[in-house]
Amino acid sequence: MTVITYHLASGETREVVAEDGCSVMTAAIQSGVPGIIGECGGSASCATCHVYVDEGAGDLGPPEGIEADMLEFAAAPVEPGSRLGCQCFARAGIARITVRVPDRQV
Amino acid sequence: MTQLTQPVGEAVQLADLFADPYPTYAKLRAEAPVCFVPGANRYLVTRYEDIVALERDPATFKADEEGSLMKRVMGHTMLRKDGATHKRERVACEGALRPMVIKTHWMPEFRRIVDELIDDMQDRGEADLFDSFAAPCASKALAALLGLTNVDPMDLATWSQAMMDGTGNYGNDPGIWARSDAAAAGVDAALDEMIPYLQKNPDHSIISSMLHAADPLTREEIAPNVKVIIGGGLNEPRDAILAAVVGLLENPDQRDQVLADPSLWRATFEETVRWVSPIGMYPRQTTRAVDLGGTPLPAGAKLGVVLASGNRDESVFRDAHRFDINREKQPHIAFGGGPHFCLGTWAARAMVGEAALPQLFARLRGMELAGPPKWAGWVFRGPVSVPVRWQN
Repeated sequence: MTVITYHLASGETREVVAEDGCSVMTAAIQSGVPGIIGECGGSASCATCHVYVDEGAGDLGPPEGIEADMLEFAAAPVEPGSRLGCQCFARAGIARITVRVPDRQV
Repeated sequence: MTQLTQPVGEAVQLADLFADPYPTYAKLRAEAPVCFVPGANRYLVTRYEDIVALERDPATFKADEEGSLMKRVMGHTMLRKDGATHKRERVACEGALRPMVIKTHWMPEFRRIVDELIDDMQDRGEADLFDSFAAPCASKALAALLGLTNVDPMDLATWSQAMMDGTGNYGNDPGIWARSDAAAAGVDAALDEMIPYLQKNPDHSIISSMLHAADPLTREEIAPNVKVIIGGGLNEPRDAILAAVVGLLENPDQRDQVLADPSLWRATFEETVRWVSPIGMYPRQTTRAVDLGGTPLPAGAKLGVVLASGNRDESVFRDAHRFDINREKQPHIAFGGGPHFCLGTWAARAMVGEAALPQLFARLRGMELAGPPKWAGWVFRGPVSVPVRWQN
């Protein structure tokens, strides 16, 4: 289990406890966290679950090739902590992931 | 006692949907958003929220519909598969269609195709853009993307239409079966020629990607999927090009705005496919009894997911009937969602939004409608005639 904290563009903060194997995107959709769309359902095909990882980035590792390419097509600017939420997974050993949700995904 | 008002669904006539489905969709959204429509022999799902909800639950709303005529025409394609079997076939195609491959490899090809077609018609000063531009543009781009360089793009267009007619041949018309069978045989023959070549000479094409994927597809898996890409990959970009031209020419202020600021072509493309979604409806079937948007559905219920209606849902898009490239950005559902999210999304954005439209408007100066455009369809919808003239 991992505690995922979402800092929304509106200034609000949401916290979700995610089971192992659940992605940052899926946890947001299932809990009604706004600002993450996930059009393609998690296959790294749409770039609408873009997040900036502030805490837990080291545990998650860097984005892989396909994800890194797709990030270039995200609507909001890419920063060093940019990830696709659908490729960041909760798991034992990652206590917390903290992300900022960009102000736009399309 | 005589029923004075017909239930909403029974009143829906397919001929009305074909001519202009939007008044019917508005009525369904307001009165019966998940409604059994006997004429279509399925429940039509017309609200944005319900469509997004079902797309997020593919285990309950499966793509592998019983009695699908698509299987009769094309074999079992990935569009009618679910779960891991779908994913395996889709992933094998993705190598050719990722946005970076589109940008670096396919964009120059799309630009060349577009420019050659404009070269051919520029001196004429007038044309119907359906025949002269959008249809051949989509055919040529698709032949290149697939890797069917041995096929005349016009044959591809004929096959596409014949197979699509087959998938809708609920009347069992033998003439339609004969044409769709001939089209499928044409695709098979073209594949028998190209597969051995692409096996030895990998390139950026979809068929090459299928053959050389980490988990490669067999000839038996490739053929149905190439057929579904031909059936479904041609009319959508064609219709998006034409719908955008109509939207801009009917709204000259927006045309002037995008000509002054080319960064708005992306918004123009997205607004076009929201306004008139080329794929208006696709099928799903329930795997269990489930409640959708307040309507109880039995297990095995056949659904028509009406993307075109969800994209006109006033609770999400204000003045949804208007073409407005400046509207507040909201995710539309023209590309569907979930595991079957349109595989060609990035190719379409590039081909239509970055090549076809900008080059057409840049080169055909003073382009204006030369007569009223004609629209048709609901399962697939787009202009069937867009007469224009320009200064030559």
